[in-house]
Amino acid sequence: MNRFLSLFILTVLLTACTGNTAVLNQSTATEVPVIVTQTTVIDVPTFTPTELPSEAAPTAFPTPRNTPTAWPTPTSGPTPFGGSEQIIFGLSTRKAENYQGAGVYLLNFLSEQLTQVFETGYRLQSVSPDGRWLLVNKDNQLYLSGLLGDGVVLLTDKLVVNPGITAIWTENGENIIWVENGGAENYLVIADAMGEDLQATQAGLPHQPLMLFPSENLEQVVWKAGICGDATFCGSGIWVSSLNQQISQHFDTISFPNFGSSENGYALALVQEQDQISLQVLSQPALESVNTLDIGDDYPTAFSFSGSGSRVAVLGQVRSDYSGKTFGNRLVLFSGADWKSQELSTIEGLNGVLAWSPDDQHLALMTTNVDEVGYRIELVRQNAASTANQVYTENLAIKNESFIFVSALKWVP
Amino acid sequence: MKKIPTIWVVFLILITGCTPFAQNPQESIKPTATFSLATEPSEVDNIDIKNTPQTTEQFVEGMSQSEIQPTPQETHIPTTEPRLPPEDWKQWPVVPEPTSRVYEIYQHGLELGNNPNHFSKIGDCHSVKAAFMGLFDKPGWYKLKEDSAYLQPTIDWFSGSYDRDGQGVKGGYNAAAVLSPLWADPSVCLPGENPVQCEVRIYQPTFAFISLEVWWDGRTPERYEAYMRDILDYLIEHGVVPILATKADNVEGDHSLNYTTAKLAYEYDLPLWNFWLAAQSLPNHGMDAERNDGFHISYEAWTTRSYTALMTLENLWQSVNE
Repeated sequence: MNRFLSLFILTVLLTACTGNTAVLNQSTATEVPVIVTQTTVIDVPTFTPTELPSEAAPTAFPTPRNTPTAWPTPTSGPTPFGGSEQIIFGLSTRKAENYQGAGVYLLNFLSEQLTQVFETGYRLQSVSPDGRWLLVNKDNQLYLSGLLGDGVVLLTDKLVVNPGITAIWTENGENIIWVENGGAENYLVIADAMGEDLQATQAGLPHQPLMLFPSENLEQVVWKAGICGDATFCGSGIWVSSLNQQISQHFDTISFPNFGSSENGYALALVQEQDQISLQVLSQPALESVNTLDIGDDYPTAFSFSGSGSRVAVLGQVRSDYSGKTFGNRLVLFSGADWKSQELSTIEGLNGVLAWSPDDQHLALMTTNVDEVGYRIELVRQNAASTANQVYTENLAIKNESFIFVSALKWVP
Repeated sequence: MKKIPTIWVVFLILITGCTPFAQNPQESIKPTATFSLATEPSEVDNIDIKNTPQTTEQFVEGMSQSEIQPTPQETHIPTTEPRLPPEDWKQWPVVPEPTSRVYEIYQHGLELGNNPNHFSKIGDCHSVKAAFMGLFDKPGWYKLKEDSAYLQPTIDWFSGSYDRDGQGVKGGYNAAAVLSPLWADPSVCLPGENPVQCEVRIYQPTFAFISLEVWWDGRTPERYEAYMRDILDYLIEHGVVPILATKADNVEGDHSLNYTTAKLAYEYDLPLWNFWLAAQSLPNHGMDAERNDGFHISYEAWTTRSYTALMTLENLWQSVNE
């Protein structure tokens, strides 16, 4: 990693002189996302709604931002679980062909308060590694804001929007990257952590980017090319680029990579070999298989290293080979040198997502469940050391006639 | 007029298990490793597969006349030669005549960017590639005689679509399942997509065979019809020409599903590939005598099913290119 850091610094210095990246005109904030306290699309949650502090109009971009208002009151001392009592998640709905952001929510496990940070129409793209900042979009407008929706700044009004993520923070927290529509083609835009000092990779990428995956730093940006509707997008294959050096590698059998920090620098990804899809631990940066995690016939819908990197949590969709029908999800933990597996629980639903707690002791799991009436969101807080868990679904009461699902989830540090 | 020809068609025998409630497709679908010469479907030869029969007074078995209410065509341009009413579906030709509606939907699909070389299948285990049309993507697995050589351009044009299940085919699928996200493959389909939506998005076909419905107690023809309407509406909206199909079995006892399918074909002015009619001249009416479960069709029927489907596809494809 030191080698990469040195290389990165050297590259940054060199790049500053090469002119390979174009400095973009800095955007000006033109619209303020409305911060509301009432649920509009989904049923009103039964957690206690809480009013957020009112926001002034955003200042012109770029603007130094203040620390988010201390609300809810931070919990002092150790918390009962997780190391933090808050998760933040973004909802999306699908109606016919159209996906729409269905708001961004902050849930406090202790107070059982569910707060809507951004209203319907806004979608959570990414949360900063330190949990203090959000990237949200409304249509093609990408905003940077504080965790509570404060200090909102428009970063661009040309964000490429698709069902995948198109705006991320690098895992080292130093940069924001998003996919921007430049008219004839898409390109990546790089900003610093405050959304300033924009640079665009208008040249150097072998294909037009379409979506982004968690990426460690500018030396290793993971993205996908193509347009939704063709096999390039819907099939497998990713690009890993060093944006400073304009070097890209294509890995045609790998999809949905998760470059979470493990003790050994491993990555996780789905690997397709012929007709078989498996979840594998991969070395970096070569992305060669180190181990295959055995999850039986389940299809892994979500997987992640714990914060320390010593364990991998996998949420696998249980499916009937014969009919293809889904029968819920199994949560399995893999740990140790031999990647020993332990099944922790099962959870109903589709499109599962998971997030580790900051102390690695708990997991938050969210899925979409379907019944005769419509769709509802399930939330489970799972103890990572036992089969004990707590279900919040009844109190959460997020439901919708159209398909609704959690598009992003993070346990706030 | 084209008839099912008296040709020798060399097929790989794919004895496909199709038990709707089996848990493992690998156990139920076991292609044999040998080639076999199919028997000549001579009994089918006598069926006039395109001309509309003249008889109009027969009714569906097991149904009273009062139950048979042909739905009037309301919105589309009628075909040049009006087909028999739905209650006479048993006499509808095996290979349907193209309708003006086919051309309209096809053109709409091209405008939307659908791939003219692609067709899809939406069906249960009867439609898996190992049993349905897959051989046409495998040169050497079939042999067309001279009077059926006209089918080769169709085989070539849609190359790649035959030996493919896509997202619309799976053992156990029915009209409700293909509309539920619970059955969509999460490795390919987007959040909230059902198998039909997923298939249309990723493959962008211009035609789609629809052959559905495993029967069980409690499922009514009305519910089947409602689900089928959703499927048809979605396909038509996305410029995919639905090719409806009758089934060989009558496990429901009154042919009500085939009748319902015919009603939909009549109302929407869509082609109906009348496989039921083609199967009637086969031994045991195309049903598997060994299983004798009233659901699985015989090997001879697999052959006829793939072949008559190809003829249907050819006829429709030619019509949109005239």
